[in-house]
Amino acid sequence: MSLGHNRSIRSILLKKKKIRGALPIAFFFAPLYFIFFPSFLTKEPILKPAWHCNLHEYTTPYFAEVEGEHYYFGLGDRFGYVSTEGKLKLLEDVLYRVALNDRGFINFSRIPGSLILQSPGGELIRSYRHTGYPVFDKSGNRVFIFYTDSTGFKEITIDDEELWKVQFASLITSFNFSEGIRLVGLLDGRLKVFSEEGMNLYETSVEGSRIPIILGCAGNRSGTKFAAVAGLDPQMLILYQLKGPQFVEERSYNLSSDFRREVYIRFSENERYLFFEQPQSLVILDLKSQKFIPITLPGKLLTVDESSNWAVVTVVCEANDDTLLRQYSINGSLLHEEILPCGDTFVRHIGGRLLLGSCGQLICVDMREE
Amino acid sequence: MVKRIVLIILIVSIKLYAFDWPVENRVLTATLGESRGDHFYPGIELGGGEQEIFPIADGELVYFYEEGEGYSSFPRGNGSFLALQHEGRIQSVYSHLKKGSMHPENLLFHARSSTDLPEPLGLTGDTGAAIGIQLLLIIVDLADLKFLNPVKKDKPLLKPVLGVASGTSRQGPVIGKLHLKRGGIIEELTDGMTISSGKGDLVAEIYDESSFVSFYRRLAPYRIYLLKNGQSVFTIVFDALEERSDHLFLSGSKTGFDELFQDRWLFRLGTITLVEGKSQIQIKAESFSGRESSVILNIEVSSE
Repeated sequence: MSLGHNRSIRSILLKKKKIRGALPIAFFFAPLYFIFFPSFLTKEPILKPAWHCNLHEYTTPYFAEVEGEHYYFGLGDRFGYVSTEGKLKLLEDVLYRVALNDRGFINFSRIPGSLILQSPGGELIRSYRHTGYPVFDKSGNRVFIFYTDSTGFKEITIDDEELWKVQFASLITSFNFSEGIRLVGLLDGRLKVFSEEGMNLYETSVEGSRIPIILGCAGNRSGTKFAAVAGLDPQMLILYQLKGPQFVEERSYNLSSDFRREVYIRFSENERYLFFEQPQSLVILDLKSQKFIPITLPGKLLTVDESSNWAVVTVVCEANDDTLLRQYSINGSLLHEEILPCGDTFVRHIGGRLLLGSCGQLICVDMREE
Repeated sequence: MVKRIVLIILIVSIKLYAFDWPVENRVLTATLGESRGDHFYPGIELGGGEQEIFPIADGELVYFYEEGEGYSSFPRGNGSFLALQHEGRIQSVYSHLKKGSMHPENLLFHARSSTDLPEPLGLTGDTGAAIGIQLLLIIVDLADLKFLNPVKKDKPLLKPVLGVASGTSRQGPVIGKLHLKRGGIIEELTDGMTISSGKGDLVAEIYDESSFVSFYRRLAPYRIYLLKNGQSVFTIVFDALEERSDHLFLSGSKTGFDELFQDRWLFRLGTITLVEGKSQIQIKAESFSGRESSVILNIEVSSE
């Protein structure tokens, strides 16, 4: 993969002058070549910049009448919406944090007295008398309100109907939701799975570690598998799977890490891969072949996003005093690297597009096969 | 010999029950079990300006989060915080620390009363959902799935220090208006009134006033009693919150958040049955400093 002019190795090979004497040898070795380097048989994805938007040119709050579809973005202490053609629709300052999706946002203060849902154009949709911190589900029809002391949360509909709530005698260390399930990891080592109606589907406690604790948890898109990074001495990766009506522990692996903070862990959109953080690396676990693919990073992992369709992982990490953007193929080979001038970054794969934000600039890149 | 035995018993009892205070300047601004609109407050809040925080006992760092840095799967209001694991299946959590004041590279921390060199966990701050510079201290009993109240009066967890629990008012808690809720109708109860017989839910406004902060601040009481005709009907004690079926309840009771709170300082004190004749309703409230208030209502109950 390369930016701009794409000259695939295959086309270069075709342009080489034919050497008559070498022809039989080439025919002999050609099948072997394609066995050893099968990737050259497939089309090569390339990145082509679609548009860029300089946010420095706008003062907040900014609103504009822009028709058509849009993407949300959050970059440092500002957030907004930009049309799929790159026209800025809304730009606002983040109060403390912001819950964002393509259908609207809740920009909330440190101590919220109420929460206000606004449309991507900035119009008030409704307000909620809740004092916690909101997170949208994927559909945007549900909102999780986290208690500010991290001991519980409630799930409400977008119309403010309270569906269920929980409070634990422990702090939540990790949270994830997917189709039909909500995963809660706790400081005391318990991992809980709830249905979207709040029914307790599964509960387990980490065993085999000196100190049980859940450091990260994630479920796959269809809600049939989930995984957790858990425990101190040793730290473990534990995989769970739905078998019949119940979740069961599928397998576990001891890890070399000793994290004492939340760990990044996420399934790929196509559910085949699991990404999880290790010291100065991101590990891709191919769930089909059970093969671990470690990606060594020069510094602390900051942001990850992936595109299953394109088999591409985009990683932002620290590298000494710089921030580095790297793209890897799903088999772990480095495709592209860029030094970013600012620490605040935004990375989002949307279908065949990559929306990048850094240093007050939004860049949209189309990924194509050529 | 007797002196030695007394000394050993004293040391052992301190080891068993007492943790160190995490800060030197102790100003109690919120207590465990208070309403936070939709859930119980899980610990105590200590003001007192920017100061060093020490662990309540020797412990190992098990989890930390620096506000605005690193990965977080959900928004947290704890700000910069850390959690320690102690002996005896106890965890302590320190929230709202000053950003950048934590040293998570250290894994073992010693309390001030430790024989080892004590090390501060960080400085009190206003990160997360903090109103001013404060520390939210949460003590977790992992064995019984409980949040323990560090300033509980029976078997105190924190070593007794002069003038601490007296962060609550020098008078007893304020007992405000009493109401009886019956079938959607709310009646205010006053001394000497006549009221019709029947069942109803008693709701009372009760709070303590902090005497240690210059601004007006309400605190929860420690204990509330409801007596009818001298007989105990309802008692709640803010000693601990225990988890059952993914909800918290006041320790040893069936009283959950929604059952207890009508509003932030409005307590549901249970259902009483009023029968024809004279009835006496007494509400007693005790503060964390041990001071009591009481309100007695003598009411006439009519047949209708």
